[in-house]
Amino acid sequence: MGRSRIEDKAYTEPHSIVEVASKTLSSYPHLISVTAVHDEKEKSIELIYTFSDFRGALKNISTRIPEDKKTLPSIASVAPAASIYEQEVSELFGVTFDGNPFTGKRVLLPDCFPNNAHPLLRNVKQEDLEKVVAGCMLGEPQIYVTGSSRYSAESVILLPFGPYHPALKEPERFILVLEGETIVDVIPKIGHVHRGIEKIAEGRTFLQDLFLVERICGICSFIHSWIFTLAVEELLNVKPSKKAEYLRTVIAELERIHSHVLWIGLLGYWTGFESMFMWIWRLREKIMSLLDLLTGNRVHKSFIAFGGVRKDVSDEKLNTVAKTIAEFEKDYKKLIDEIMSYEPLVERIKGIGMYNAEHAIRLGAVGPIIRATGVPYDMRKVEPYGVYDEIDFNVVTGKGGDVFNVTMVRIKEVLESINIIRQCIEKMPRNENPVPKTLVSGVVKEGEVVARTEAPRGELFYYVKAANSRNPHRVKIRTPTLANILLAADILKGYTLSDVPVIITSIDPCFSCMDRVLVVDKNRNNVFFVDFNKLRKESRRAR
Amino acid sequence: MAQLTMLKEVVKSLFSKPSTEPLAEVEKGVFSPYSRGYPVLIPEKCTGCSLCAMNCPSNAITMKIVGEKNVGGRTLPVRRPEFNYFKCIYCGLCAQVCQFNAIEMRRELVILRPGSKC
Repeated sequence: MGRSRIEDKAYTEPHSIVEVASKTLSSYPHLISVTAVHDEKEKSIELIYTFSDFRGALKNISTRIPEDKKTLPSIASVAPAASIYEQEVSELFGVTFDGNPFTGKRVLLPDCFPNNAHPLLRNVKQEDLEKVVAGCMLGEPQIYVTGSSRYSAESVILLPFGPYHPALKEPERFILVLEGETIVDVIPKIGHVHRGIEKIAEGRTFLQDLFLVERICGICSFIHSWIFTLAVEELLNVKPSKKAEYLRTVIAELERIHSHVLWIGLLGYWTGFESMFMWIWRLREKIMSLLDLLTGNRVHKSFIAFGGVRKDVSDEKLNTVAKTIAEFEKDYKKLIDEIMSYEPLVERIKGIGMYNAEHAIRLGAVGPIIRATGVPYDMRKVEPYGVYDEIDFNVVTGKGGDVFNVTMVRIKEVLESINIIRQCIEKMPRNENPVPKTLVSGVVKEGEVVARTEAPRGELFYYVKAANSRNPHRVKIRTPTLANILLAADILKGYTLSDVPVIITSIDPCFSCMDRVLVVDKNRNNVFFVDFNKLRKESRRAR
Repeated sequence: MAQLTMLKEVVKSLFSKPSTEPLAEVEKGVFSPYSRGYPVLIPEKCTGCSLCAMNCPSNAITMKIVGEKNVGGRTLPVRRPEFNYFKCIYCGLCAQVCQFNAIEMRRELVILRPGSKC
């Protein structure tokens, strides 16, 4: 569970995709992703639209377009969430979607990137891309205001928010259109931290990719390697032992606690309540040391393997986890009681960034954002993976979308995670070896797999295609932030400038997770990256 | 009175140990007890199969030719892995995939001083 082979794809002609999509949306209202796969032998690009209902059923609609005529109608008119996914495909594969609201703008790739270079096509080599990027960076710095030309009237002010802004922990740009102090429109420009992970993944073995995908995110790193393992295990027909499944679940839940607690701390930081930030982060350190204890690493755990985990965990360590988690729960409850009874904080976050369930579904939101409106969409319940089907837990939902409800959902989810970990440690089979005999996967047989898990930020989606080789043919990653970013930009409208940091960050954005595409090689282009000695010399000369 | 307190502090800090310790004195116990350590080759056990280099996630292992051996009248190169500790992510995969246990994950800290070799 958590993953499934794609066996029944509904093929359609490119020109009738809008009709088919609108029909599908009536029974499968949630568009998960638009995946493009380039087939260099057949000289065509396959587009797979993955839809889901909120109860675990998936529907894959596939269409093929020839390499030399890459045009098809956009489904953004019936499914607004598609606009950002289509734009991603359009920039990376050069496919034109007629009617997409982002057409003609750059959302993902840098503005200086040439129009005819499409990085994810199979016949584009990594070395060529490196040249393109180097040439791009050597040019004069250019300042663009993407897509804001329609606001040239004198009554509005265009305010660039980011890429570097004290409120954002990662570089991302939002162009705010202001009327007085009220926001009328928001134009997101993502992609400042593209690293080319999808492209690099195609050139490495499955085992090496396991460590690569772990590095997509520095907070929810384990869930990325777990979902990739789920997909590859399905392709290899391997089943992990029960203890391995329990251990994976414990680590994933510890990671969820650490991620949520980190965010709650940052909420204090964004609202100007910095003591809260310090208290909460001090508590989080307990969880980090537990992760260190269990896996050997605090951040990138390198713990999972195809068919199990990479090392056994002793009973003694598990008892320490149970003890520390109990301590953490006590401290956490006390601290949250104190924080949430502090009225200035509650007043600050109540009633800002309001949205309803229908709005969130239409824009494809996932995770705590959609659960705050009362939709119990949690992959752990909807499509149980690991040992979630053997464990008794509740899906936390809120009473209507705003920053306060999102916060409450995350606060309660931490308690739910503690509950899951406690049950896991009780039920874990003690005398079993979770380490598989061989770690190396070798050649993987042909097949396509989609996998879905519940990352701390929401539903995470992977598409992995193998073609009888050591390397994957295509790895598509759709992170929860990309699904939530449209809603975050949309709910800003009507609020004031001072609310922007709190609302944008309420989706717990992980911008680096959704930017994965560009390749920068600092070894070969030492023009752009100056080494320390040269920098020192230059600075002396300047003085 | 206040001056007396100040004088007390001065005398105390003059004769007490500094709160920072020189690096040589903290050689032991710096590594977290749970860390995997860093990979070190045991050359006698290595057969030069280069399984570690093929599976290294960060391409930190290169196979270097260190000599020649005679197998059935033919001269073949002898290969040994070389670790680039700046590229290494210390995941311990090389030690785990090695069939001959020729890579050891070591925990003792090596202190690099100017001029010392890796």
